[in-house]
Order: sequence, then C-alpha cells, then structure tokens
Amino acid sequence: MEQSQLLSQSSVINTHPIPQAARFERLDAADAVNLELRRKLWEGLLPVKVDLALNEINSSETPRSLYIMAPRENYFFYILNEVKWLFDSYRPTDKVDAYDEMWFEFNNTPLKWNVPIGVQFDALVGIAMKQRDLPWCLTFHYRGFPEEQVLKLEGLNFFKFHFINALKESHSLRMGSAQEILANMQKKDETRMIDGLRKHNYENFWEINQNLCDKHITELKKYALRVFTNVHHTYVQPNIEVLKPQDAQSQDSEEPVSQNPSSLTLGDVLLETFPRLFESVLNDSGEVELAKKRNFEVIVQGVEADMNTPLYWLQLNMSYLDNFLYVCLHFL
Amino acid sequence: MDPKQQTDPDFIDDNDDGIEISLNAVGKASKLKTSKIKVKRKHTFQNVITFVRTQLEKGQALKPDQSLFLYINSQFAPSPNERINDLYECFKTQNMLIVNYSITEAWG
Repeated sequence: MEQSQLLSQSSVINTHPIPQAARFERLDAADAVNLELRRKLWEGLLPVKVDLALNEINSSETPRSLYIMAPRENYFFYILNEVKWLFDSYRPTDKVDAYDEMWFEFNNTPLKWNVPIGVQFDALVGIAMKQRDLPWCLTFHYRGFPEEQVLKLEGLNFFKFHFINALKESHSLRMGSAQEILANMQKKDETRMIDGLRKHNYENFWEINQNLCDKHITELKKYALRVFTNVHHTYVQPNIEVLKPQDAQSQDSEEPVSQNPSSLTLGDVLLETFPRLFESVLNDSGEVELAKKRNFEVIVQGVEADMNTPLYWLQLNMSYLDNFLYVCLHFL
Repeated sequence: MDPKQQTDPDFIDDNDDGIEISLNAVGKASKLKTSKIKVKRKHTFQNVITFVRTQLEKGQALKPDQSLFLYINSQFAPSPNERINDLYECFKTQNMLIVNYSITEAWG
C-alpha cells in the first residue's frame, strides 16, 4: 500500500512539471504551490505493526499486534490512542497513563515523539529495503524510557508545545522572525491547527498553515531545512540564505554570475553542507554532475529526490507540517 | 553524551571551537551568576537546558519538579536534540547565541 501511495505521489510530480527556476520570481507563491500534491502528501500512509514489548506484558495471555495505517506527515502521538486502547489492559499495573514513560522502538532505535513519522521511516528504513520492512514493525513500551536519546512525552501539552515551537523556528528561519506567529496567531487558530493534527483533518490544519507556509521567494530570508540520517544521532540544520538578485550582481567574481535566487538546487546545498558525502564530477557529456562518495539514498517525503530540484520548490511543496523541509540520507 | 549513540564523521565532523551563549532571565526566573557560557559545537541544546537547570537548582531558585523553558531570540524554544553549531549558525546575533529562560511558558 505504501508503494501505491508513493507511486501516486511521483505521478503527481510528473504531471505537474517543476516550473523553470527563472520563473519563480514572477510567480505568486500561490501559483507555485501544487495543492494536489499537498493533499497527496497529507494522505500518504505508512502500514505499521505495533507489538507490546514482551517483558512488559503483565498478563498470562499475549496481546495481539496492532495493524494501523499511520499518516506519514503526522506524529506518533496520533496513533497513541489506538495503541493504548489495545495494550492498556496488559500494561504493568504501576504504569497507569504514565505518558512520560511511553515510547516506540524500531530495531533497538527509540523513535522520537517530536519528529514526523515519515521522516523517521525514510531515515531508518529508506527506499530499497522498504519492501522487506513493510509493515513497519515497531515495539511499544510502557517503561524503560531511554532518557538520553528521546524527549519525554508529557501528554497533549508536550505535543502542542513542540509543534508550535518548531513552526516558530521554521518561520524564524524563512522570514527572519517569528513575529507573524507571535503577534497574529490567536488561541483559536492554534487550537484549530492542533486539532487538525490530532484528527488528521486537512482542512482544519491547512486553513491556518497556508498563510504561514506559502511565501514568495522574495519574502524568504533563509531556507528551513533539516537533514536526518540512520548513521548519526543528531540531525543537521544548515544555515542557507536565500540569495538576493542584487547580491549576485555585486559579487566580484571573474565569471559572469548567472545565478538568480531560485536557481539554487537541492544538490547545491547538499554538496556545500556535506563535502565528504558529495562531489562534483564531469559526466560523459562533459557536464558537471553531483556524485555520491558513499552508498546512500537521498529521500524527501518517501521518494528519491532529484538533485536538480530547486530548493524553493521543495520548501514550498514538499515541506512537512512544521514548514521544515526534511531530507533523509539513508545509508545502505 | 551516551556512548551508544551513533556518530559518523562524514555526516558531522565538528571542530571543538566553543560558541558563546548569553543566558538571560525572563519574568520571575532568577539571574544566573554566569550569564555568558561557552559551549562546544557538537553539544545539543539539551546540554544548555541541563546547565541552566542545574545552576538554578544549586542556587535554590528552581525546584527539581518545576518547569523551565528556554528560548532563542525571545521567539521560539528549539528542539533539545538540535545541535549548538546549527542554532548558532542559523540564529546568532553579533557572534553570540541569545538564550532566554523562564519558569513559565513565554512567547506563545
């Protein structure tokens, strides 16, 4: 099922060709947004199988597994009610609604409450191994929380706090300040957004997020990008400024500058951020091409990313719900 | 840092330069004796949270069960997993990372 989701995602990308970079300045942000793709990404589901950790079963019978379709863009909090509903009667008796001790695990890796489900799947499983690893088999724990590695869940307030703050952080990057959210976002807007996440309701969520997400490239100061991987315990959030057209002209470079703000591609940024993982090489036709120095996949929203995609297009159309663009490097 | 945590020098290879962080009390939070600290680039924001909490608890200005909130530039609370290097490069003000701490939630 995951695959059909992915196929339909890529077909949307194909039928809506990415506009030529040079055109972005003349477009309204609204014209550069692909709403059909936005909805497809929202509807992207991941089949997940959840088992209760064996040593935590406080009962003579073993509970059945939970099979659930988890929305890729949402967070583990979203499936927690169903998990608790099935396992609560088997849990250790001293752990009654101890939210701050609950956690999910995949292959001995504790999963994070504050990172979207799809980002963790892409980083940890990747694309090539997906067929083997679906459904995604997770273990749920009521105790033994890995304090050093994961943030504690403290119920809905935790979820709200971390989501809104991630939203403000991406806004600070993209707009230079989170003032728009701090000054204009009312309590009811925040409630509506969080409600959209809790119920996975597209209209509730995007009615509020649209104005925060859809910014014209000339309004942007920086890109909000995070890079996750399966080989390192922290992520990278590089500082990538949006080039202003006048900056490009004033550079004292020997070569004529043909760059405009929206010509910056995903490949350009990865090469600059990870010089030990990427290099520029000349291909057979004598063109400069980006090559990987090690064997890994570059994944955005479940699909292998094209290195020539303009970063602005990705930021606008492939960001997750906190308006960060998450890129995953899955090492094989 | 937990030695079990995975590291890959091709992905991240930090130098050991310290980054200067300014710690500013907000609202009813007590001022710290050391309001400027140097933190290694490879550390995460969690290290700063732990530092501020320990200092406040030592001075009995915060009880272990009391909340503490840390913000950047009086705007947002970063994820505790975020690297100091990245926060500095993305949000620095005059070669310093400005952190504000409060015992109640501030800035929405």
